[in-house]
Amino acid sequence: MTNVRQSRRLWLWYLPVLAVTCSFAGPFLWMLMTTLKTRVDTFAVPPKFIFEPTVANYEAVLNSEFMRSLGNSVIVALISTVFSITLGTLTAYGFSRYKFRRSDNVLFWILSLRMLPAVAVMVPFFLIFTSLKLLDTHTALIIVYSVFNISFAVWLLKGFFDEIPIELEEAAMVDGYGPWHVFRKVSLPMVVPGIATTAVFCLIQSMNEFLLAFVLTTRNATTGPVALSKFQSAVGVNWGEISAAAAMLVIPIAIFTIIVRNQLIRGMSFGRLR
Amino acid sequence: MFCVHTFPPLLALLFRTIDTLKLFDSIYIMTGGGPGDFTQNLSVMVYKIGFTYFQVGRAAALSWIMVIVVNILATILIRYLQARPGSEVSS
Repeated sequence: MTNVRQSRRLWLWYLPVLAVTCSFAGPFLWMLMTTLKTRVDTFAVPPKFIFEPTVANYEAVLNSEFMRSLGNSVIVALISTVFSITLGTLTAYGFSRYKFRRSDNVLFWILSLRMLPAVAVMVPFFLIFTSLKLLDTHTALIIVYSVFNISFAVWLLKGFFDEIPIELEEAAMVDGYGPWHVFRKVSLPMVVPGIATTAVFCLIQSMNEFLLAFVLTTRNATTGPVALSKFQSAVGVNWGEISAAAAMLVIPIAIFTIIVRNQLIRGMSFGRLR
Repeated sequence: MFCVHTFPPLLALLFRTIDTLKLFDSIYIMTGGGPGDFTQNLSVMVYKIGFTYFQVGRAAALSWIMVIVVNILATILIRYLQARPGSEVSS
């Protein structure tokens, strides 16, 4: 009796899960559907779920300025991810293995950068890059995104480094490794899954960032999201094209995730201290 | 048991509060803060003052206020993280 009731209650828990899943996946699927619709079908009431698909939207986007912005987005996101992963790994290892005076406070200061609203640093960044003549360049965006991603990477990677048993490193030191080789040959290979996870997160954040890209770029270095917002023009919004462009923004992240997928999986089956 | 189930939502609540305070893109793209300033939050307001009216000094001052507000919330969050038993964050 209790078992039946419990299983029924368990079943009830799936309702909110289903609701949340639908509310997340719904708009995305709707967007994918809109990419294949003609302009008339987009505004049909009631919404058409069976329609004749067209690729005209994708054709229009592929031949437009948007592709350059998408390229900019990928370049900026990749380079800033490489920067933040490199510096973040070294910093996280330092914080994880060496305690110095007030190291916890420094760590919290780094975390507080993560909480900082982008709007708060928008004005100073704009003024700094104006005087450095770096407005509307990739360099400016790479620097800004690295600032935000490093704090995130340090925190995530410190957790991964903390999980490595110190005994492994001590054993390596007994065998004659110096501090650098301990890091390079013992610790680093063990956090590769963590690095992959962090890289995916950093990439997604850099690709999604809108405000700073919107402020710091005008024409040459516009990123994907900014170009997307420019599809809204005074003569109206072409929802088919805007959805096609948005769908294309998903592709680079999907490709990157597939590339690092093997690393992510390896993290689960990686043998630790036995 | 009760504590275990009650506190993680608090953490999520704080994170989401901070995130929502920072929200800019959705509001700016969908309504631009309009009609008038009905859907305008602090982020959009700072942007408008700084880059539409070009009162950069005022925008900088406003962003300082924003940092203070977020800081208060972040301090609560960090205190909570520190107080949680078994967390790697300790000072």
